[in-house]
Amino acid sequence: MTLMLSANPLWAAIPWNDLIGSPLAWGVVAGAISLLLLIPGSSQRARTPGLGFAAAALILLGLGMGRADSLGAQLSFWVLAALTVGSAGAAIAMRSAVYSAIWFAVSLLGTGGLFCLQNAQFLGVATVVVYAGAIVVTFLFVVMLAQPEGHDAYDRISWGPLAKPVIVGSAAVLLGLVLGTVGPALGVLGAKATAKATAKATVKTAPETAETPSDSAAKSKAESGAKAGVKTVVTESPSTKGDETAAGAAVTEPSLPNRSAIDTIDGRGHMARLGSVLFSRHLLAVELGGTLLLAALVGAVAIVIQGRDERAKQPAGAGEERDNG
Amino acid sequence: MADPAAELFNYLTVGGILFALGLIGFLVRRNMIVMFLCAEMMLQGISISLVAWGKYHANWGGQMLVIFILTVAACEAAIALALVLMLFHRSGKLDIAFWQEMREDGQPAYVDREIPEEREEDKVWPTLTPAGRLPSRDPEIDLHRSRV
Repeated sequence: MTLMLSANPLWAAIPWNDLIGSPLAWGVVAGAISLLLLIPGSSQRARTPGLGFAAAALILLGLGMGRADSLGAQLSFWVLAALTVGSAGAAIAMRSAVYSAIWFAVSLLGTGGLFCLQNAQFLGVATVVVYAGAIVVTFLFVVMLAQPEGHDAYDRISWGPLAKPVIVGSAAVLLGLVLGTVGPALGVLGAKATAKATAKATVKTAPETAETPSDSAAKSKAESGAKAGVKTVVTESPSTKGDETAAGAAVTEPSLPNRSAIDTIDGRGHMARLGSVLFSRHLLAVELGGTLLLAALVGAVAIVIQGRDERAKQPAGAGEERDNG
Repeated sequence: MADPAAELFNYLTVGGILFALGLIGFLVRRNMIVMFLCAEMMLQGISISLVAWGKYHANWGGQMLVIFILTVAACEAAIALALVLMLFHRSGKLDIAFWQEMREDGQPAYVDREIPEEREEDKVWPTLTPAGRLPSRDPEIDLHRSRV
């Protein structure tokens, strides 16, 4: 088994020694333990240690993450990330469905804040309006209609004694594998990261133009702004490529007004540029999304009407079923 | 942030944790409403990752995908709630374990062994404290409004 795993390139790419020393891995472990203690199905006495493990997990995860330039940026990311993750954990740990929905709404507020930190202001507001304003409220309506007493036995238990540790453990392993492969690939976690950190510490005094050659990420940002201009140059000079390919490129990429200005995601005029990209390059998808919404609306109405017909046809049978339940 | 890759990794970590939490909740919880909340939580994790990738590549693609994820999530919520209400009308409870009645003949049923005690704070709904004074009631209107 171990031989097979070590032959796997994915397995070999994970820096196990660095992962064991990283606070991220221990944060995931502490989070798994806290979920085991807090999720429904556990005893009431496990609540206090579970909350302790949850706090430890949040602190460890915060320590394992990268540092920002300014204290303000770092504090805002930490607070929003802790709000998102902590209230998401509370949403799956609450015994009452109403409290779960409310904690999920709090988690959505944190997600909206994280979107705003990443130059996605429209998405931040839209997430809060659409999810917390519409979807969660509809969920709450259904809970209050369906479960008027607010609590039931099935909210306090889960699937048998073995299911919960297996599920939490496999989710933690999945998360650890993803972080352990993505981190080194980005050069954040592992030996490359420490080398980069020391290099950065020495370079820090040098002017900003002196980039490390391996730091392709910083360059990609600058490149993509100029990408549109390069593309138009290529299509206009048929000598480098054949006429047909140039014509093909011109057909597949319709000319948009002021494209290089549209393509950058940060800066002024966020909404205007988002709208112009959405309604020019993704117009077909917008129409398809509208059609999907219409189909879902009709489908939901059809489901409810069909159920009403069946219940009207056989009221006695439906009543018996409900008495059994 | 100083390093765009480090910033990307931070957001990917948060998104991955949200996805894992939603996965755990979907598989562990038995209330159908909470299960669908957990499905939405997984979508949120994916959305955070997509926006982070879009920022990293300085590209609108991530945000565009998240907009369409919002659309699909709204459709999903509408249909899921209609289905949950249908199932509730048939079974009388939101427990997903009730639907093991659809299993094949000869399969053993899953039976709960022990149900833990209910805590006091779980027995009550979240309520608002009443404010202002109680309005005077008209007995004639009360006749027409028997159930308010």
